[in-house]
Amino acid sequence: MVMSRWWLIAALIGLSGQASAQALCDRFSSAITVGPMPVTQRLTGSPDKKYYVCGYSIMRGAQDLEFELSAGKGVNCATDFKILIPRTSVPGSGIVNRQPFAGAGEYTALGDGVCLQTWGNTGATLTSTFYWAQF
Amino acid sequence: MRGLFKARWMLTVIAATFLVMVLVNCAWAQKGCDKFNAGTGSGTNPAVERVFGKPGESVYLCGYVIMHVQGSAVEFELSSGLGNNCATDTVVILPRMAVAPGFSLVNRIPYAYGEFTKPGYSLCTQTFGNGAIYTIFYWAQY
Repeated sequence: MVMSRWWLIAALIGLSGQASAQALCDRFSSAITVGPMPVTQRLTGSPDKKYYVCGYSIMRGAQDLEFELSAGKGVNCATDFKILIPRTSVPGSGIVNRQPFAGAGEYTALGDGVCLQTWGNTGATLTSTFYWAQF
Repeated sequence: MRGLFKARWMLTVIAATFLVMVLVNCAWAQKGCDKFNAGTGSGTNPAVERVFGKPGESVYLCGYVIMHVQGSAVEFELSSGLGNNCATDTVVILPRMAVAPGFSLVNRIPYAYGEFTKPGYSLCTQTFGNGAIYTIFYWAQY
């Protein structure tokens, strides 16, 4: 009887773990950026919640452009600033990095927002889509 | 003895209920993508309906393939809206994006929870420029 209870508890923990590991990525946001842009808030933080990045698609125009993804509190991630994806150039073919579930990728601290910064010529364009969950 | 049996029975019921809830949650989380279509777009044209809206249903994109196939660079935009060719209450889903010669983009996941439209809205594509692109869209609608 005692053994069967332990088996049951272990099974419940395992199943609940599987359920949370497959949390939905049910949010997205797209934007177009032209030229160099200072750290700009893409996702606003919410107290007691983290952002889980499920992926992104980042495409550039004819001109080279660099981007950096960061997190932090306050307006434009100004407080407790942290870098999620360090400054990198976007190749001509763009970048698609995406997976279907939340929790296996980049994530923020509790209450943090997500910010984007770009560097490049004034005419350079960057079209990006971010996919995420927040819980 | 009877109390022991009752406790075990209740524990089994609780476990079974929990299991069903988990399975239902997983089934919902993994909503399949059962629709697709492919087509070409060229030149500078107004928005064209690619997925027709259905009352009370949203279009959930599971991904897309976008390839440059001819001529010079093209720009591409994905939007949603009501009415003929998304003309009313247009919402841009993927802002204008450059598609240069030699460019191909594959952005795809197996389940239906990427970009989505409001209920009843159609999905439209628009191209700008002189070249041509080939696109494939995968989606679910519910």
